[in-house]
Amino acid sequence: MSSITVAIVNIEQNQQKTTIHELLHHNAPQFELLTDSPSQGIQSEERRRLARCGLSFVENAIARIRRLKPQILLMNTSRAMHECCDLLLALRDQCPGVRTLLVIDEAIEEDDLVQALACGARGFITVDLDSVDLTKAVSAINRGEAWVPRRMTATLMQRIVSASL
Amino acid sequence: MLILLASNNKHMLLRWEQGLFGLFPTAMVHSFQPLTERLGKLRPDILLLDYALPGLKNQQSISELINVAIETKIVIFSSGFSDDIEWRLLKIGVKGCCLSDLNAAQIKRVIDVISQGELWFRRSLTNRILSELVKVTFEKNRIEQAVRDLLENLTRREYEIAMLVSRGDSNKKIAQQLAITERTVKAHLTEIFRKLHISDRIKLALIMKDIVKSS
Repeated sequence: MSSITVAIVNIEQNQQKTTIHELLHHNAPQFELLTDSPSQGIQSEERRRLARCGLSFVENAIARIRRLKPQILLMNTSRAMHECCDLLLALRDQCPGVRTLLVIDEAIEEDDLVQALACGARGFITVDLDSVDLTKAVSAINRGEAWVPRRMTATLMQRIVSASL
Repeated sequence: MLILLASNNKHMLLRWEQGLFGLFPTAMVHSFQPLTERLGKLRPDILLLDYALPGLKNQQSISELINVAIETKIVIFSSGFSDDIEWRLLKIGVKGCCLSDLNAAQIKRVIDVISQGELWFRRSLTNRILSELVKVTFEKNRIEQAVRDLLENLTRREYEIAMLVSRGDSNKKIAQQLAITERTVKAHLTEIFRKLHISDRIKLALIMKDIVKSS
């Protein structure tokens, strides 16, 4: 069975990346983490860095995701839901085949989370998850399913019904 | 918490009663006509409804039940639902769709979940919920943008009058506030209606309220 290709995008600077990286490595070869590997050459790294000067965060992220072509994108965010939604909308337009799973911390408001789901995220997990949760969530998203807790679906249905009125 | 059981299937009623035994008071009906009456009188917290109940004509009848007792949470039991039917039932306001052969413990679990304000349906529909959420949000944003574009055609004075209309102010009151004549207010309103492609001040008020809410 071929592995599921995964990339990570961090919405905030200096975010704690280790947990997700470790969990993905722990689950190899089921998942393959795609990164901007130095093996692609220091020159090409430098060329990319220069080319990206003046680009917005979203443009940069889209360029990177287009290059890496992951099946699943883990979007690591703790607060900046506005940027998260901008990127989700851009992904929907520019990379429609990429499925996004949010990795959030508990402090995120439910309204912000609903907004991110409305912008195209296929589900969310909390950053303190264990490797089994991550495996289940990423595999489900890769199968085209959603990963949202039952308790939240009533809120989502309300949002659908009120938006349709 | 009162639970109303609606079925004429003895086995189904027995399983429901086993699941709820000693936990909640229940009442029972065996066909659609008395169901609407008892629903209106008893106003139960939850209605367990057999989709094959005599007299029940699919979703139309269920919409009627929802209108009779809007606070009652309806859970439908059937030997099988297609994804489409289950989705439509959820969209009209049903809180849960279950297979008829749930055992007593599962029925109790359904009641716990529904009474906490959650929904009970098969997991595969979550995907549809998310897709629909994205679709309706996109459509709503598109309409709001179109209305904003139309509003940009209004002059500052017209926009001011539109906002006052959304507060429910009469032409007379608007005229007083802006120190202009009522006739001028009417002229501005005619121009606003023309630019926004609407015919009355109620629609204008709704548009302006939506715009204020979404900004």
